[in-house]
Parts: sequence; structure tokens; C-alpha cells
Amino acid sequence: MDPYELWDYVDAHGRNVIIEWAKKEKLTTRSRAALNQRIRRLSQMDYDQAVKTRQIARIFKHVHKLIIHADVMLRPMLCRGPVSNLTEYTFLLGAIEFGGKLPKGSKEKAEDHRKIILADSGRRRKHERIPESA
Amino acid sequence: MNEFQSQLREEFCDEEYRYAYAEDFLNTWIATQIVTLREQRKLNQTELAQLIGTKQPGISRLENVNHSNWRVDTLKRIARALGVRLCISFETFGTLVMQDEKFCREYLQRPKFEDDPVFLADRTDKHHRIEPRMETESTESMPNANLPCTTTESNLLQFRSRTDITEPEFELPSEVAI
Repeated sequence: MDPYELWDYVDAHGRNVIIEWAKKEKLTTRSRAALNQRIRRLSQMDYDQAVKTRQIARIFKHVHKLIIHADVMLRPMLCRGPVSNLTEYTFLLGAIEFGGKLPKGSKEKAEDHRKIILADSGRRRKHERIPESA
Repeated sequence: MNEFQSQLREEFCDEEYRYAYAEDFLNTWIATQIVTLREQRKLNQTELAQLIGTKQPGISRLENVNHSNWRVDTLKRIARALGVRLCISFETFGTLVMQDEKFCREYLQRPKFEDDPVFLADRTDKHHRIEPRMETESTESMPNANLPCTTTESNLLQFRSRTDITEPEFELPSEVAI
């Protein structure tokens, strides 16, 4: 069994924000493959290994970014927990970095999503791999 | 077959996807295994850098999963510094499905030569020549070289005694984009 469970934030309409982001950005096959590969590794690696190998980096309060150099600079944002920090990650918001910068306000939005989950556990579901249709 | 393996089997039907996945997996594997083995040997980045004749930022770069421009020459030097061998081999996507499943710190660890169970029992006197324990077998029965060593008899790595060979069978260029 993998050491970490993965979860995705869902919006008020029950939509998985990561899947929706992937669809909206029309991720290429290469980007989708890299994203799925890295997310899978995240569920298997120690947290400190993930940080040391620059898989993830903490960027704001409880928010981390997953760092993927694919066809574009993918930076989906996530947090440890938030229910159980030692055994789960939750993806909070999709993002692409341009010129070394994340979209304005995205870190704060991700942090807000984390707080929403803490208030309502129904605002997340088990992680779904990014499908081809995304 | 579990859920992840089933998903990968389906995803790998797309040729571009499976090659992109495999490439990224390779980058992740190398970076993570260097960190894992370095820590297993209780070395910091500066110490490993000194062992291979480079500087700490160079090691830091190699330990980044987003780095892919390693030189085979450098990987060979790292292998030597860590008491292991570098193995470069062409593999099937089927083995990737298995490696994908098993990926973890323990799976990436390797004993250094002095702790390799294949050689330990034979090392009774440091003046005696170290003999390999296992007999040669056909390569079809050779286990995947990327699988970890264990101490059980059945899982001991098998290799060919090549005392008649003085030159390598092939040469890799010094710089290879893998």
C-alpha cells in the first residue's frame, strides 16, 4: 500500500478542479503523462525525498507546488493533509507558471480551498488520474 | 493486477503517452536513487561531489527530478563513489508497470560492494581472490537488473564470469542524452 493517499479538491458544483484545469489548459499528451507520473511518485515517496528531489516545494503557508517541466511549466498546488498531514496530500488548484511566476492570487486561492476542505470534508474526493479527454 | 497497473496498461496503449511517461519516470528514478544511495551511505552533497571531482551544485542538479541532461560518464563516477555499478539497459514497458508499482526508498536502495551478500560469505581472508558464487546461466533467465538485491538464495544476482574478456563489449559515448 502506498504511504500517501491522494485527494482532489472539488468546487461547489462537485467538479474536480484538477481535471477541469487540465481540460481548460488542453494539456498535451506529454504533459499529461508527466503529470500522472509525478503524481503517482508523490504517493510513494517520503515527504523529505519529494522535497529534496525538487518534486514539490512549499510556496505559501500550507500550500506546496508540484514542479513539472513538461511542454509547459506545470505547477499544480497541493497541501499535506489537510485531515492527516502524514498520510495524505490534497490537490487544491491547477496552475501553470509563466516566466517564473504563478498566476496572481493562485497561492491564496489554494490556501482558501484548503480551509474549505477543513470545514467540509465533502469538498474533496479521491484523486483521479488525468484522462485522455482532458 | 491492481487498479494502478490496470490504468497504466490502458494508458500505455497510446505510444506518445507511454514514451513520455517512461522518460519522466527515468528522470525521477535517477534523481531519487542518487539521493537515496547518498543518504544510505550517510554522505552529504558536498562529500559526494568531492568523491566524483565536482562541486555541490552539480550534485544538487543531478538530484533534481526535472534534470535530464546527465552524462553517462558522470553517472559512472557516482556509481563508483557509491560502491555500486551503473546498469544501462533497454527494457520492456511491461517491466515499467512493475517498477511503477514498487517505487519507494527501500526499492531504490542498494548495498555497496562490501555489504553485497553475493560476496560476503566468500570473503574469509582479504588475501584470497573473491570468487562469484553463482554459475553462469542464459540471459533469458537473468532477473531484471533493476530489481533490488535481497539476501535470499533465489534472488541473488547472477552474472557471467568474464575473465577471458579484457575489453568492454561496447562503448557508450561520454555524453548520451538518455
